[in-house]
Amino acid sequence: MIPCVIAGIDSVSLPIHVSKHFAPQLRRADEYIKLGVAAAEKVFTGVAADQENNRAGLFAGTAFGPMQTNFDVLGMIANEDQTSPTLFSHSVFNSAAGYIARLFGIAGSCFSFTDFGWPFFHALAEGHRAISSGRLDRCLVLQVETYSDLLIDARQRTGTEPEPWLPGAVAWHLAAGASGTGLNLKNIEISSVSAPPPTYLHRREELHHDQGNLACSTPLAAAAAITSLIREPVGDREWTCRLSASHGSVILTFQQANA
Amino acid sequence: MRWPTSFLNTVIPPPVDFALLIVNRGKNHIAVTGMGGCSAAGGTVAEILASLEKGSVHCRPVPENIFRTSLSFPAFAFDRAMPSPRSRRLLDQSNIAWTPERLNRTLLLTLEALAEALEDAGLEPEKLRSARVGIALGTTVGCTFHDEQYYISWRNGEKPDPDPVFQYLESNLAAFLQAILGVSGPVSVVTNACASGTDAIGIARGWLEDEICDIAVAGGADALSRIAYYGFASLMLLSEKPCSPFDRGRAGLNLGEGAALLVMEKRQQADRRNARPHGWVRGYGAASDCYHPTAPHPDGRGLQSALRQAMADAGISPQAISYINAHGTGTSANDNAEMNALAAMGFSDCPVVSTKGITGHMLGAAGAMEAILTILTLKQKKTRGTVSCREPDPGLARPPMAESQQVRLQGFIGISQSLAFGGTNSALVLEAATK
Repeated sequence: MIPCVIAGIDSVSLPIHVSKHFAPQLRRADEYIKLGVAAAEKVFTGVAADQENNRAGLFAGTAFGPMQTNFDVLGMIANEDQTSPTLFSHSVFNSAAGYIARLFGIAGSCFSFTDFGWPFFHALAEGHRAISSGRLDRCLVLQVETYSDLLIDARQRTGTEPEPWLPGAVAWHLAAGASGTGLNLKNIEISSVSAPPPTYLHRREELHHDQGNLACSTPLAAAAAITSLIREPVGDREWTCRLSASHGSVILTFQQANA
Repeated sequence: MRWPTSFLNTVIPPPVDFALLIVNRGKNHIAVTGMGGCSAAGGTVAEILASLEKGSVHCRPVPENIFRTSLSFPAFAFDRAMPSPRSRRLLDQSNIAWTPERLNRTLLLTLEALAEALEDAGLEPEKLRSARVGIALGTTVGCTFHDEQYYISWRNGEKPDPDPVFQYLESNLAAFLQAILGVSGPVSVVTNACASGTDAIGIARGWLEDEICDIAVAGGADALSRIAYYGFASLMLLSEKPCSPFDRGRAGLNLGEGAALLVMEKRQQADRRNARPHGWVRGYGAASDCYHPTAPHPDGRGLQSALRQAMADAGISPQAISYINAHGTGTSANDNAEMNALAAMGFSDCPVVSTKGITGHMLGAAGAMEAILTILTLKQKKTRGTVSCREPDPGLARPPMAESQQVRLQGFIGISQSLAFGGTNSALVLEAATK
């Protein structure tokens, strides 16, 4: 099994910053696409390119996808207005992945997944498998969420609000690495179980790690919390962290090895 | 340093020596032991195959019970009552409380295909509960909230009962099937637009090879939706008559709906329970065009890469391929790109057929339905030409099989390929069982 090195991690939120180089190509893009591109650009900072770009892939997870754009299209149809072809093409769930692949030359396999429970971790598991099995040399794993006013309204009307849901994205760059170097993602185990629908609107996820526990209450929170956690090197050892919720659990095993 | 943009221009590799590419990670062929499907062409796989053989085209105005429209583009709608007795039995056997009105159309279509696939595989749901069952499904419409009444009411400043939002949160296809079957194992809903069904099969194959599940249910499902219908119309991709892929006079695609599911397992697992495979998933490849949000690369750049990967994965060369089920939507850009890619790859004599003339474009279900039809066609060792392709476009880089043609196939291995928005391309190498 090929070691899966975490070569980069980052997260973005509003306002969105993308470089001047990409800005013209994102002129008509929605927030969902822009957040994805901004996260990709940030996590690829400092990455040297190689020529085997069809050995690079992308695994994007999302709970709600470009939901607001979807409603914008639905609004046009309900009003019997002319439907915007651009808006429609941006309303599909793999719109961000398509833009990122094009802008960063990721010509290998590109996947978008949707899951209300563990969207980032489903994408991460597939990215990890692709690297470990040798199918890809590197890949971008990300979660993008933008929500919608309709969803936020439903959430507010059905429970109390410990934390607002804010648009954002989390990105990890995984690469095939030599054994014994960098921070390796050794294993990821996901258990998904069916849970009552309100669970996904009023999330109560717990992150357990050796420095304590952390409550996560937004769809992006768990991915963001683990991203923060692994920013700090923890020495030459293997460690795990565990997420638990009524909709299942995730166990991640990392190995920090000094070069 | 950011990945340089010049990187974008280095995708096309030199001509490939396939002998060098044969890495064959698929040491264990993955068996397809059950298949189920529904579409405008029929309520079962056997009915759909019969429609294909007869060239039956059930393309008509969108039924009002699905949605109302003033546009005149016809579609391929599934016209049976759902749930059927077979899928109702499946629901009744489950531990979940259900009522038909809580199940959206995509879920109902999925259940039709699931019930048939399990029965075909000889698998009782309760026996599955002791196995690790992976569920990988592709969809485009099935992952969106499209309750128009709720949306309009909310937009008008009312406070509608949030139950439709809860229904949406219950409708993740893979989670729903996992709950219905009461199984545990990896789950995934792939939303790679029109390649979703093919990619779901590829992912499930990877799970089985990596031994993270014993059995997998994979495929795709999509219902007709107003958003997709108006969206494709806005892109000027819909045809006002039944679609005619690869035809000189082709005028676009027709949307279709349905579901297609495959039960997949490792050869040893299938042997252990004396299952009789329909065929094998031999290889899978996926690649991106890096070109345009909605249009395919004119040379089918990503498709060529996906085909190369799939054949390397299967350990075969183009000469081993006896049949290709093309994406063949009937749009000018798609059909040209596919044929350019196939010509460049050296598939000069292999029969190329699109089956969308009888199913319409089933979006997230298309790739899975076409995988099933590929296996069945290979099994029969013969194929008819593309339904409604009466005069093949002479401008295509290589000819498709016209409607009037029929050929005997030279072997049992074929390809099913998909292209999608976002520049996604994927390909499966499939083999029919010979006994």
